[in-house]
Amino acid sequence: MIDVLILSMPRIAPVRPQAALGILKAICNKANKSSKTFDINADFFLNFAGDHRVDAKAVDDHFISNSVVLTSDENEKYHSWLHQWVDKILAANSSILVVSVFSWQSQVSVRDLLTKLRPKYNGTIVVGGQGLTNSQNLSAHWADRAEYAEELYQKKLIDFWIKGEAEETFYEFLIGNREFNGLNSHSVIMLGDANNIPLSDFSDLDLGSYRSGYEADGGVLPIESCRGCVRSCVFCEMSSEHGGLRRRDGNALANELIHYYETYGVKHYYFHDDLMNANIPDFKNFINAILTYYEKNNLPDKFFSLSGYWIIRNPRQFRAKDFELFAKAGGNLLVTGIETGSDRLRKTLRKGFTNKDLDFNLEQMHKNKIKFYFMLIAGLPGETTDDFQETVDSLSHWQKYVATGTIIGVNLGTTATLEPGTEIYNNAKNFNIVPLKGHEHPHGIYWMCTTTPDLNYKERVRRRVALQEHVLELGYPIWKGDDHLKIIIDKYKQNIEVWNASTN
Amino acid sequence: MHLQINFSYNDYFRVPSIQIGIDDIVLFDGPVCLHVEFEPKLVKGTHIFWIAHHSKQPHETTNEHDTHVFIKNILFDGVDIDQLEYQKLSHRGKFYPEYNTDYVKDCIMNNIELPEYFSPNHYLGHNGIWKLDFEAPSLNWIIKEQNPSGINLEDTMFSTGKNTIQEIKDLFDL
Repeated sequence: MIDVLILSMPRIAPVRPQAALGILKAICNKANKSSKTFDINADFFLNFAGDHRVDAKAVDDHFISNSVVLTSDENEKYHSWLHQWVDKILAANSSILVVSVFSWQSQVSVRDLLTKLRPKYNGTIVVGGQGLTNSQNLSAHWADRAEYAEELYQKKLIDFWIKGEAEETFYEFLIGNREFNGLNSHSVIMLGDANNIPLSDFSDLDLGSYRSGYEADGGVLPIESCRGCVRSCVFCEMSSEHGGLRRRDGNALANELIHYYETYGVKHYYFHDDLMNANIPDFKNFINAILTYYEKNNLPDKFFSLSGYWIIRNPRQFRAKDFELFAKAGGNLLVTGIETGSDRLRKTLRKGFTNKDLDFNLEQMHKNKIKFYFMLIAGLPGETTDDFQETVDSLSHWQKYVATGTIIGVNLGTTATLEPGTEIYNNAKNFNIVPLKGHEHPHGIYWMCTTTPDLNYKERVRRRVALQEHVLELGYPIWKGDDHLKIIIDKYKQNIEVWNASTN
Repeated sequence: MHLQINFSYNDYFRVPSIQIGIDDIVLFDGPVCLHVEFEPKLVKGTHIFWIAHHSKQPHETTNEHDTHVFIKNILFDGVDIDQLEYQKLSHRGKFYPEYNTDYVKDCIMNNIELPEYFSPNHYLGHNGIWKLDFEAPSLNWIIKEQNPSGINLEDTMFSTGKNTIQEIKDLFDL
């Protein structure tokens, strides 16, 4: 018998354990509760998909698309797999079951599992995570309502949901407190001091089993340098809604990473926070502390690899020398939302960098053998045909870095959506954005920009498809291209009136 | 296309003479330089990039000195085509020597069979022509041949094909 069983459910890329698993287990340790972790997501992608490749692909589509209907054979295999997990969960004999709902893409699998499990499980079931809301682009932590959690609660599939950043509230729950904000409520709960994030406990997981590309080298672990975001991009709720930037001390962060290395032998780390270089002094301290550790322990440059979300800084903020030191410390793969190739449009989005800054960063990454993955958004509000052409031309300009292996991926997303909590949503009029007919407020894909009347939904999809064709022609490795197009197709089929309205 | 070539050479007897070209176009003709660059306009498709070493005389090879040209590296549109140790595209180039007649006679007498070409070879000692087949646009060719990112997304959950593009085009009448 154990006190707490912690689950991670599909759908998350099985490249490393989800950070929540390690954090939740560490909080159990702090509360003197015995715990066990099951990464069911990893089992789906690494084992079930290996045994039933075609069926798993259909089930995977089922996770993200309402229009996918499984065949009886696919259904049988999927439910047989779920049954196995129900048996394992029951056999673990826990008092509390905690399910981490990573995003909206985990909602189907969580619902399917709990529907089977609830009638047989006598303990307390709790869900948490960013997927407690029904928005595709908004974290439940900061959403007004946790609709998905409410749905599970009303169906009596769960006993509790914990909304928000739960490092402190989950501890309260474990020690028996049932009266706190965020428990079965829609309050926004923020962790005040990001330095209070505990050292994660990944001891239940086989870290080398994930499909990280570093399997033989012990796998990859998640780590975070901050909470919240330093930028104020108008289309993103992170800056306005994620509780503001809460930095973590650079030296303490280096010590945490070193602790993981010395405990698990892991050398590869992925920063899953909004921006790993949000606070430049902390980030430089972190780099220096890692380099000092190398020197003291006679370790070679790049002994660790460090990857994660990156904001483009200008050459005065992060110089060529800084890139050199970062590369020595292990700078490996940087991920950035470029969004557009148009400086004009990027400025209106408040991204805070120019194409010139980006060129400097790309050249430094190339020189220092750091890899780069970036995101673009087609059909941004106010995107003119000239802006779009600049994006197309920029992709041609950046092709050199695909040919050098610096750019290892592009992600084109699902066209621009307006999400609650973003500045562009809250102050739509200031951005000349109006709702489509039949909608009170512009949101999701239900918007038009009066300064770009030709940019209706069809045109946004056309630009999205054109970008995909262009990057394929240029030889970019495009990630999740089909996934995103399927989401557009699915969303369109569900909301056929969008197209009709936008053409009126 | 932006083409850059870096050479080294032995100029003990004289600076070696070379021609550089693509297909039927001669881009350079004269004494070799350490660095040359060109902006040829190429149509999409296959092309032959060539470097010819010519006018070398028999007396220009001694035990100590040999008039020759060495191709140090070649950059297509700013990218070193030998950037990957395990996939050096210049190693696909073939050097077709025009053997000196006395040298051929010596080889025959000594039962040495002379090859039609050397590959891989960056040392242009004999007169002759070094040829490399490539495609324009050159960056696409490098990406296709080297896959420098090392990423292979086919058959993964991240994959991108052409079927879904067609489906969405049909759906939206694009």
